[in-house]
Amino acid sequence: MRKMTLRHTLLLVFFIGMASCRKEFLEVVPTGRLIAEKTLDYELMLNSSDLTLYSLAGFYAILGDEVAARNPFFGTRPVKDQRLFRYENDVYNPGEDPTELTAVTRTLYLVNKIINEVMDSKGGTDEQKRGIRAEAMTCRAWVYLHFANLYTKPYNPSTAASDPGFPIIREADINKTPYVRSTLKELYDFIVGDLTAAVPDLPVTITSRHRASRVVASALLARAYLAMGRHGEALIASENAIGALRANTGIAARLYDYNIEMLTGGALFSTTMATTGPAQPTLPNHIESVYGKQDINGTVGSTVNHFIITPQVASLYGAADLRRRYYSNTGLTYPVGALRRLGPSIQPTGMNVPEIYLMRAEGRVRSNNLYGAGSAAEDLLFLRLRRMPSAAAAVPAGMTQSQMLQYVMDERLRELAFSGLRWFDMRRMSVDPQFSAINRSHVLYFADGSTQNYPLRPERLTLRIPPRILNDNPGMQDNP
Amino acid sequence: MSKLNATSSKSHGSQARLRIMRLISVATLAACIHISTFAHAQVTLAETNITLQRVIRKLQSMTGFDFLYDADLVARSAPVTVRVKDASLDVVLTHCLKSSGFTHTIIGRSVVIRPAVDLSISSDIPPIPPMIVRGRVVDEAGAPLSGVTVTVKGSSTATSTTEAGDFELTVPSEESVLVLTAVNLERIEVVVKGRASFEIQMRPRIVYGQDVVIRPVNTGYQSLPNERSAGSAAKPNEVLIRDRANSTNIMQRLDGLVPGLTVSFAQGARASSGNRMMTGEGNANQYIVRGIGSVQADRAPLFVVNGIVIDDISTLNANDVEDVTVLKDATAASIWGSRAANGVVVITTRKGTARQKIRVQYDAFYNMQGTPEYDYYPRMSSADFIRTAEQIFDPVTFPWGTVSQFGTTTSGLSVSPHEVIQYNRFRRLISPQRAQQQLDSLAAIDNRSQMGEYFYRSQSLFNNTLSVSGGGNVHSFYGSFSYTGNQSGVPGERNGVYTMNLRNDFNISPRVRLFIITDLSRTEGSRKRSVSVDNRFLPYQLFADPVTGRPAEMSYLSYLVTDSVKRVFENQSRIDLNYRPLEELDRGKTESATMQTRLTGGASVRLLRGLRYEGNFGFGTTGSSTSNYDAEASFPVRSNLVTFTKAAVAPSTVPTYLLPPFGGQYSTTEQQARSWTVRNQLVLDTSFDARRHQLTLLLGQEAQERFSRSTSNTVLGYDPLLLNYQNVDFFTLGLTGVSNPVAARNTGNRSLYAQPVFSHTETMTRVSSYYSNAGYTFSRRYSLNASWRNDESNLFGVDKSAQRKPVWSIGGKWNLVQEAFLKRFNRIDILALRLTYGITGNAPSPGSATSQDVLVVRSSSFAPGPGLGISTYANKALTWERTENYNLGLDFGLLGRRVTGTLDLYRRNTTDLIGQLPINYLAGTSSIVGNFGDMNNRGVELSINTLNVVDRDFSWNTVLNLSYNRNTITRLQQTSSINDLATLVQQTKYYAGYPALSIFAYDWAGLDAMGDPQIFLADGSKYKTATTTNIPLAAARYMGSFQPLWNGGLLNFIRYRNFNLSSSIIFNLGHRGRRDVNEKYSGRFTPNRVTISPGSSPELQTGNFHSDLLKRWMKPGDELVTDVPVYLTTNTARRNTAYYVFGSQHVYDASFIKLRDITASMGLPQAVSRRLGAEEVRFRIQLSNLMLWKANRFGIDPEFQVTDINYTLGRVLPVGQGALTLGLNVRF
Repeated sequence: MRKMTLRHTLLLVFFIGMASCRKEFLEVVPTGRLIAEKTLDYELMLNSSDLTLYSLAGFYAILGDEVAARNPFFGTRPVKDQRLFRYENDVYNPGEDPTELTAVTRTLYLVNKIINEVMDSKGGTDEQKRGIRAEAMTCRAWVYLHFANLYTKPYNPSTAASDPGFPIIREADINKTPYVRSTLKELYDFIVGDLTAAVPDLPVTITSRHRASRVVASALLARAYLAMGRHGEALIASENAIGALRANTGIAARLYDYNIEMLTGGALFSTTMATTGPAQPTLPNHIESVYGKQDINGTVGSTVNHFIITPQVASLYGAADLRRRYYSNTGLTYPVGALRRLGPSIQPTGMNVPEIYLMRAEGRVRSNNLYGAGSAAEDLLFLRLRRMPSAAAAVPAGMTQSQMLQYVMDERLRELAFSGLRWFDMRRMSVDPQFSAINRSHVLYFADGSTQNYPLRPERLTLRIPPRILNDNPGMQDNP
Repeated sequence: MSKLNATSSKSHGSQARLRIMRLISVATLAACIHISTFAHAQVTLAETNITLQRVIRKLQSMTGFDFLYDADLVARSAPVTVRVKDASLDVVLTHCLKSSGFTHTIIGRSVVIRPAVDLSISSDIPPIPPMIVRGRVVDEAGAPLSGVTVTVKGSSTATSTTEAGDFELTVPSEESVLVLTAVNLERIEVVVKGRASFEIQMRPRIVYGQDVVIRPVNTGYQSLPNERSAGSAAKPNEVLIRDRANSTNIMQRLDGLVPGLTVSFAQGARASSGNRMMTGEGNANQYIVRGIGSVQADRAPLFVVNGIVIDDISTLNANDVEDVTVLKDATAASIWGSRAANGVVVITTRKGTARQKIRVQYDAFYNMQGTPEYDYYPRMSSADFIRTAEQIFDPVTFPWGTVSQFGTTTSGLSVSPHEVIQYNRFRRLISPQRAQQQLDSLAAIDNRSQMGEYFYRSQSLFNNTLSVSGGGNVHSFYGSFSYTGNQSGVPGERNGVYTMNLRNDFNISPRVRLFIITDLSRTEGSRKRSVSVDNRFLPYQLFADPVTGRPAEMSYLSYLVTDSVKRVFENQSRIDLNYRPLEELDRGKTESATMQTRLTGGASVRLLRGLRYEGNFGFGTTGSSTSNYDAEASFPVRSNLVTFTKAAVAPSTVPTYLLPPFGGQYSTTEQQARSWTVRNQLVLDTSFDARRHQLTLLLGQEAQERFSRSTSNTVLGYDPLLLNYQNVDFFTLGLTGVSNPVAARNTGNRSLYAQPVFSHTETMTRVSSYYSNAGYTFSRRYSLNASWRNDESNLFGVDKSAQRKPVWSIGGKWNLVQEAFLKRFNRIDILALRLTYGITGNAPSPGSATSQDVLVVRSSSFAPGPGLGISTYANKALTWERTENYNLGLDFGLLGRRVTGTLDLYRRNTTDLIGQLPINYLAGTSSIVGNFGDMNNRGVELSINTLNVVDRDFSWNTVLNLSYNRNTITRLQQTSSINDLATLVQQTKYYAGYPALSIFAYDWAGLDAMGDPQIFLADGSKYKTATTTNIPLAAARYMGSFQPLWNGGLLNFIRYRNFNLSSSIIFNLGHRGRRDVNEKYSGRFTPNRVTISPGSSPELQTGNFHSDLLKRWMKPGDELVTDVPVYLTTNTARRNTAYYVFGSQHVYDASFIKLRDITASMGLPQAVSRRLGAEEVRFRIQLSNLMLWKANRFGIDPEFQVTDINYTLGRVLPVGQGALTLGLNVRF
């Protein structure tokens, strides 16, 4: 009997032992993976490569009116590119994913997560947390400017409150569905709201081109206001951006002087300048970039035969303009005067210094500050002096306000052609009373000299919502 | 009827004794053949003065019992007179024999007749005092065995065991030997050695074709007698597994042997590209039990070896396998919890038998698979190729200036030699006549013989295994050592596996038993830098000069587009940039070694009567290391250097090398894994009321951990003799790079160093489980089984509540044959009905789905520090995949078990399938791991085993395994991706209302007058526009599924004396596949550039084109005679060639029947083998994989057709078809 008791005791001990060891057993913290908790974790999320690489510029570039196409090369392009160029109503096949949005929506999830969670994170000061949140909000506004420029009508203040916008997504929730389109006004108010809230919390000093600073938020705000036709506010925002740029004591952020940098030993010097164009500094070393997003642009390159810059736009460059080194006519037998964009095929987007100066110049023109100290002409000259020898850089004197406005838009073309920003400009010009209605179209050139025109109808300044998104969000209204 | 009379004998005494012994064993054999007897015979007999011999014969024919007697003695006895009516056999015999001086014993269905005087006691030997021994005979599961004949060796003293398995016997001496025999059990001899009490375990005799319904069911946790198990489990035939020794992978030997198990046949070095016939997917689906139950990547069953789960079944030496059980339904499998939803394969390895003399066995086989058919692809001849290239050449759309320009990427197209000639002619650098001459000379070259000469060889597999087993009273052991040499089809590759396995069993006391298994394997391999080439490569490109043998130059295949680019770079860098594949062979080497150790131990302790504790402990480690060395002279190292070289400024100065200009690149990867399992369980195994109630209860706990780590390092400037390397400024090379290098790798005339030089990963999984299992049997007729299990793991970022999903099952078995109303049907030996129901589950695989966002390092080289990105998106809605299993089974054995078999009907309803679920595109990503639908599998499995002819010298057995499976997706979460015709046809595998892995096709309508493909829409109209916008899905045609509806095997086994012949025919029927057709109808006619990076085997597998292109539309009117679309170099957007490629005309019937193998084995006559010192010597010869019938007429072997949706490969090179295996087995 005693033996039995002993055995029972052993059994009991065995089962208790079994039950007690299990809690800690499953509590293993893995290496290489983590769940965000500390403020630092959120800060590191801002360093993510998910906020760096996009493929939007090439998509916009095909839509821009500075671009023309050539056959037979155009006929070898993917069907999607051909449809975009022809301004067709439907770009995608129904099952096709709008791949240019893949990276943007991934970014949106990440920044929404940061915005919603960072204030409750552990270990950081309130100032750090606000700074991280402000960076994420800046990035969210940047994402929404893309949505707005792709899928909403150009902003018309009188109809914006009723025009359909785009779904405003504030939550990082993978299962949320369906989304509903906001109004256009709500959409822009959301963008402006994010940027306005972000500016005071952001650092003036630029420590990394990958990260947002006050320059970036102010410049994006200027971009948004320009799109909304609120030129006075755009001017203030661009002045704030340049003010922050001046106050920056961090890494270099200014314009390259092509007169120097394209010489041997310069940052833009290339041994193959004639065939492949100027060299391209890597993004961390690219001093014109203040918000380093990298964009892959398949429409440019020394072997690209299908897309060219139109003879009209090519003629905007003066003979001494060093920006022309980004173009070549080698092997281009037709059309006469057109140029091939050599590069860079991977370009820094996000926000660059030249655009900031051009936005201020435009703002100054619109406030009729044309010539003299602190004028539009001064901004334009400042840029042009770094793009060509001083002898050729002078801004024509005696232009009227509207002439100078046109001059700014031409300067934007010269500076920003093939970067995708032309599409933004075409859209805002279409609702701007300063510009008379222009019938824009794309031209396809054939080797025999014949051409084919693809007119841009006003409704196609707004792309249709990709079918994948319409299907994911039943009831969502498509664009006409 | 029995012909077992004793033959005449001239002397009595010891010889006669011997004879009787022989008789008994033969009788036992005979008894197993003749069982169709009247168990309770009533005899009526009226004879006067009849010989005893005749009486015996009459009784024999009336009762069917086997009689065993010395014919000489019986013949000499006096005649008898007998008059009985409805008397029992015992009474009749007593009556007849009494007067003749004989006595009899009835043992089972055998009668032994012997003289009343015991012949065994010779007067010469002084009598030894007899002793009484008692014992109990049990089966492997510990259940008592009744009716076992226990004979004292060398005497006629015999008895048989009771219902409780007990026996009692008087033996003449302490040194006596007991011989235990029974119809279905292996004969066993036990030395008494002075002990008075025994427990003897007997193993089932391997009678070919009967094992399915007789052997106990081993679930890995316990072994339950088959008659008490309600679950659906299958035991593949052991003899065939053993004879089918042409592979060391046990699973490959099971093909066709288990109804419901589908084995994809992939063998040899190129198995990695795999056979995807059954699933349309990768290698993870090589083995599938009862159809596809999950749409996740891994659908393989769980492999359990000696109670421990292992991942890689291929490392187990098939020669060590003793027993395989495949668990198919919920009752059988749910004890394995969340990982068992795809079925479980339970394997036990061999062990020594107690009190057995040492046995040594040697087995060897040499499997010759022949050379891979590297010209299996339908491709053009050189002459056709050049002719087509001339027709398609378009220097306007693809100007020389563009195609010849050095780009930064290695992707893109090369400028191949025939194009250079064409462009030279177009650019007027050479005359048309000269060009024609050059093209004609290319057209005359066929490189296939050089391909075979330099890059292929015959494949073979060689294995030898030496094993030793034996045992004493306390300790028994089994040990084996094997070496497997695998000669792949690629010259210069070496691959060998050494394994060692040692199992020790200790019977420390009647209460305590222990076992320890040590299993070691070492795999060593090495390869050179061979190219992977087949007839898809340019047909005219020779690899060496046919006259001088000098290796041919092919740098045009690399990023060095043209000779002039190469020359410029060579001048600037002063580095030779020639690429000659044959020269590269010895300029690099990859070596790998893997050491695997598995230790398994177990203990069984009897605590109380019927209650025992069992412990099982497994510990395994794997260490593997791989090294890659590419010498300074190798092309990848040279070309890498050029991209980081700045040209010399003047001819007198040297270029600036930013990577070490001397030494090669060396990288190592070290992988370590360790795992352990601890399992403790209490087992109550009891019976009461004279075994009317039998109860087995099991309660246990299990903990597991798996940990793996991988580290890799790369150094440059490595010298393999001095073992040193050079430092490199990776910080600058990675961030700023080199501007204006000789050959820029990145845009903007810059090279950035992007390859990681170090990586480290670790994963750790822990699982804690509790489980219980119960079995109750009443009156040997009614059994109830139930099981329950809960697993919890350390899944990171998962809610605890999500883990509480126990799996369970319940089942019943009705052993009909034990019912009184069936007893009178004496031709039914086995009849049982089984019904089970249960839930199995599949947890999302670790890390694939969590309730919180899981972050991993996702750094941008542009950011100031490390970056974090999301690896798994939080998905709180995710739940387990749950499968309801129903199984109705019937076990039967008829006509004295000459026909046995099982029939199972099952249904598996799976809900909340886990898979890639497309989500709202705006939410953050395009798809996540989620629950996206429901499906069910219904099927029938039949296994019939017949003993067609059974004779002493000749036997013929047949096994038919047949399974039918129909799978239907019943619900699919509505996703946007399937609302378009193109998506449905070209990308959809799962669609509600159709089987998983369905094939949809465009309804082919032929070519139009421009040679463009057309399809029929639902309304019957023809359509050719590229876009499929707004086409109703009804236009798609459902063509069938990639999964076979029917599969199984037909096995035959013929034995004539010492000669065995077996054949297995496997069949897969009722499924479809897509043909590999030409897909390229635009662009240039030239190969893709080849990535030649360190450690790689460059793939020269593009360049030549599908021979269908010869039949393409070329002029109006061709559409009447051909379906092959026109080739266009521009304006390709006007049509969609996918309509052709994915057209209904290209879906073929993939059914086939193959002779998987036919094996003949022959033993040397015993006299010969004895002289060699061996007990048995057997030779075998086997021929594998002969196609008997296939439904398609396109020359496609469906086993080697990648019918993947993505349509990337089409065919894989067949290997092992018609393979010949020679084998030898020697037992000492």
